[in-house]
This record gives sequence, C-alpha cells and structure tokens, in this order.
Amino acid sequence: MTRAAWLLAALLCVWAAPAAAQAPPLGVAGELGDPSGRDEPETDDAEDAAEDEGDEDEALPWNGPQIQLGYTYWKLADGYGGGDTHLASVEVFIHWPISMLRTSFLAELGGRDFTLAGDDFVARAAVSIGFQLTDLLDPFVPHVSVVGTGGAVVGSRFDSTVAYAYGGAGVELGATLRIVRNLHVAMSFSYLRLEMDGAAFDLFAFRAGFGL
Amino acid sequence: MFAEAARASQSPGVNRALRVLTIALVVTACAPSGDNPLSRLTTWEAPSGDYRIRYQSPPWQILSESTDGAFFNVQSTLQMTGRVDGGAGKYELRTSRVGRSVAEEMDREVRDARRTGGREIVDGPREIVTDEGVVGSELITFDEPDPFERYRRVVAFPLEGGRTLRLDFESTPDIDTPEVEAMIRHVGIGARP
Repeated sequence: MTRAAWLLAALLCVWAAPAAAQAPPLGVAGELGDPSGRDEPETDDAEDAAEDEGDEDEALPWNGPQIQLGYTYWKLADGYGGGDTHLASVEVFIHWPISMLRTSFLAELGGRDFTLAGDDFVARAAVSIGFQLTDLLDPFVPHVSVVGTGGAVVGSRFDSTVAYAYGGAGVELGATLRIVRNLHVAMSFSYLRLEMDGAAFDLFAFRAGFGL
Repeated sequence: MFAEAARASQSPGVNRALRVLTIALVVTACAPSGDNPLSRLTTWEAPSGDYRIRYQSPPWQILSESTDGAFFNVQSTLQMTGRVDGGAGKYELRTSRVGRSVAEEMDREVRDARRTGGREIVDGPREIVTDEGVVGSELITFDEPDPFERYRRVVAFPLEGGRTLRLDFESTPDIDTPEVEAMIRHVGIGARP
C-alpha cells in the first residue's frame, strides 16, 4: 500500500468514529478548565458536606438558647393595691464548654401601675447563673438559676419626679422548648427578694419569650 | 512541705463576694415589708407626742419645726433648678394646734373663705377618716390667680383636751388628689400605738 492509501484510510477512520469517542475524558476536561466538567463533582461534595453537618446537628444535644426576647410580669407592691409591672426583656446567654452551665445577662424596660398617680417607669438588669439539662430531654431544656438583679423605678410623686434604686436576689425555674434549629420558646417563674427605699419586696415574676 | 494552693472557694474575691451577698440578704431580710405603705414614709412626731405626720421624702421635706407644729414643703421646679429662696413651694403643709373643737374650727374656716375675696369653696366641709379611725373634717378652697392660682385644703382632727389639730395644705396643682388624701389618712393622732 502506498503512502497515499494509508493517509486516506486514516481520514476515513476519524470521520467514521462516534462523536462521544472524540470528546476528551472528564478528568482531562477538568485539567483543561472546562467549567461543566469542573463544577459538577464539587457541587456534589458541598451537598454531601451539608448533609453530614445536618446529621451532626441532629446527633449533638442543643446547647440552649443564645438570645431571647420576652415579656415579664411581676407585682412590685405600692402599698395601695397597685404595682402591676409589665416589662419587655432581652436576655443574652453565654455558652461555656460545659453545656449544663447556664449564664445570662438580662435587661428589661417597662411600666408599673402606681395607684395614687401616673404609671412609673421601671428598668431592670439581672445576671443569672444556673444549671440546665441540655441533652436529657432534648429539645426540652429545663433550668434552675440563681439571679442577682438591680434597677430603678422612676415616677411622679406630688407632681415631682423621683427615682428609687432597688436590688436583690432570687431563684428562677424555667424551661425552653426548641422548635427548629435554635428557634425556641421559653417560660420561667422566679422568686425575687428586693430592697427599695428601705422596704423589702417579695416578687413572683413570670416571663415568656422566644429567641434563637 | 509547701502549703496547699487555696481552693477557688477560699480565694479573696469569692470570699468578698460571699460577704457582700450575705450582707445584702440580711439587710433585705430585715427591711420592713413594702406591702405596708407606712414602711416607705418618713415620720415626724410633734414634741408633745400627740400627733404624727407621715410623709414621703423625697419629694416632701421638713423646713422648720416648733413645739406647736412643723412646716413641710415640696419644692417647685423653679426652686429646684434656680436656687430661688422665696416663693411658694409646689406643695406646702403647716401643722398647728388650736383651742377649739373641730366643728368650731371648720365653721370659722368656712366664714373666712366666704369673706376672702377671690377665694371659692371647691368642696366641703366634708368628713375624712384616718387609717387609725380618727374622724376629722376638711375644706378645699381655690384662690384666683393673684399672681398664681393656689389650692388650699384645711383639715381638722380632734386632739385630747378639746383641742384640734389643724393641717393647712397649699398647692399650685390640684390638691384634691389620691396622694394628698393618702397623706392625710396616714396622720397619726394620739399617743404612739
């Protein structure tokens, strides 16, 4: 066979071969920078990783709330039958390596009904340190805490503005129910013994809230 | 041997915190209950011991006292901010004893109110009873602006020996309010229980 005949046979083979056989393999395409060949495997990896993380979330106990917005009610007696106090609260939690340790800072603002004149303005801050069960009843997390608190009551007495500071301590019992991921609802009851303006007050506070 | 390292509960900071907490709890536990309104009031007792005025301080303050009575006031906003020595307080209270019965004193007060130009009787004479059950009488009047409007509330309670305790309230705001009424009801008459 002459050299010209071999060249013609090679051209016919290339022409007759299927198109797929002519495409470069995926590995080669990836090395050559083909976008379609490069992205597909990585997308699969990311989904797998996300699924793995989700599985880990399901497996690990919840560490408890991180931040809560809530409503608090208590009765800070005014001596004349009034004293109903309604407060809006923000509570921020600090997480420790020991998940059962529960610590938080609380800030509240609201109003107090004063029988003899207009409503008082009430501000309160609190620090609580306690114990919570994060894994035993997950996603239900009960807790018990010791609370130290302080704040001020500002009101009008005889058409003059007066302010009273108060402080005290108490115990809080409550529970948190996780709905999805960190979204949760919470409820707590606490007993506080406060001192204000030379008098002592026994407070039973109720708080409900939600948060992340 | 080396001394053992102090445990956390023995550290000075923890001990100090525990001491402060203990003191705070003891102070709180010993304080009178806030459910009783008298626990947050200041008491001034007449030197003779036959009556007592219980007032909220602040804003009330006692300015002077004598064997017969005392003078209390609530500073006006101008007095609080401008160091004004003169002028009337937002609220004022003068206490005194008179040698007449409650009925005689109130009749005299009504006659004076009708005689005084620019003064009108808003309410009374009407009965008022203290928390301790002592029955008295009171009259509320209003003075036309000259230069400032002024409310007056005169209260009379019986004392021993046919005498009367006279409370002269004056104010620029309306004086017929639950706060003033509560202050009158907290007045103690007779020997300290």
